[in-house]
Amino acid sequence: MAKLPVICPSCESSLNVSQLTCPECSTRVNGNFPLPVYLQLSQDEQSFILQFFLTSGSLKEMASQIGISYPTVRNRLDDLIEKIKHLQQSHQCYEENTF
Amino acid sequence: MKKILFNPFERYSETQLLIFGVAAAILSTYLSYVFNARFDGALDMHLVKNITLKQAITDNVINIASPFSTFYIIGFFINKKTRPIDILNTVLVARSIYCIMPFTHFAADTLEEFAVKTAKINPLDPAPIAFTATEIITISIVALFGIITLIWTVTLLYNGFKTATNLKTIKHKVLFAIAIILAEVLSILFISALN
Repeated sequence: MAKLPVICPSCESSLNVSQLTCPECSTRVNGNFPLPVYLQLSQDEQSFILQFFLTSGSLKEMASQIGISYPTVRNRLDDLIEKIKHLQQSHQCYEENTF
Repeated sequence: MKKILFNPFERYSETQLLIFGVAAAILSTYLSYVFNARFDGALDMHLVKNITLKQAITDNVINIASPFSTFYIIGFFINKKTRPIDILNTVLVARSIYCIMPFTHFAADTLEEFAVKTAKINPLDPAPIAFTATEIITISIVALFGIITLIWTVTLLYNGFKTATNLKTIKHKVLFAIAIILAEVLSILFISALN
């Protein structure tokens, strides 16, 4: 399955959704919808969050499953939290400017 | 392989690193006692005529405690989530490289001969002093050995500290450098005061 592109290959900004299609009747909806925060993350980051969820938030268990040390997992999580906070702020600014 | 040699902190658990680090600390204490090598500073080693077991143990305990204290205080300042065990493992694993340094004992006689000759040089009248080929080769090998060991140790300290504190900015890197200098000064002061 092809990966959903979330970053513009030209200017590296976050991409928006401009068209949605119903797989049953092929009805198409056009517009300009920002991607949800989770989808703006890279594939690796999404997998990390999924694993965090599946291990009930246990960083120690995650570390042993991935085969890396505990502080490395914690650092990745901290970096991801920072990134999500930044994306949320950008998302809020976008909504304020749009509506 | 590169990761194992220079950044094992990203991969191995704290228990594995602690076991390795403690074993290396015991081995380096034993080797320093056997080969008359004094670790008289967090990043130093000097060959001496005689060393007692008490001195060898005291030197190593201080050389672990000093960088641990400075790194933990500065690490905690950088990131409140810094754990003491990660800092301790950083110091222990980085110091494990120093296990190989006491083996320079086998070049002790040549090094002493070289030091005696060098001390005779008068800076105002630098008369040519003949060094033998053995002396020059030995000094070069020991110097290279020392430089490689030092660079490897500091690289391990940096990578361990970086993993423990999630160090990122230039300011954090400067604080790391200050922590190393403080650790070196503290260890030298404590060792000279206690011995």
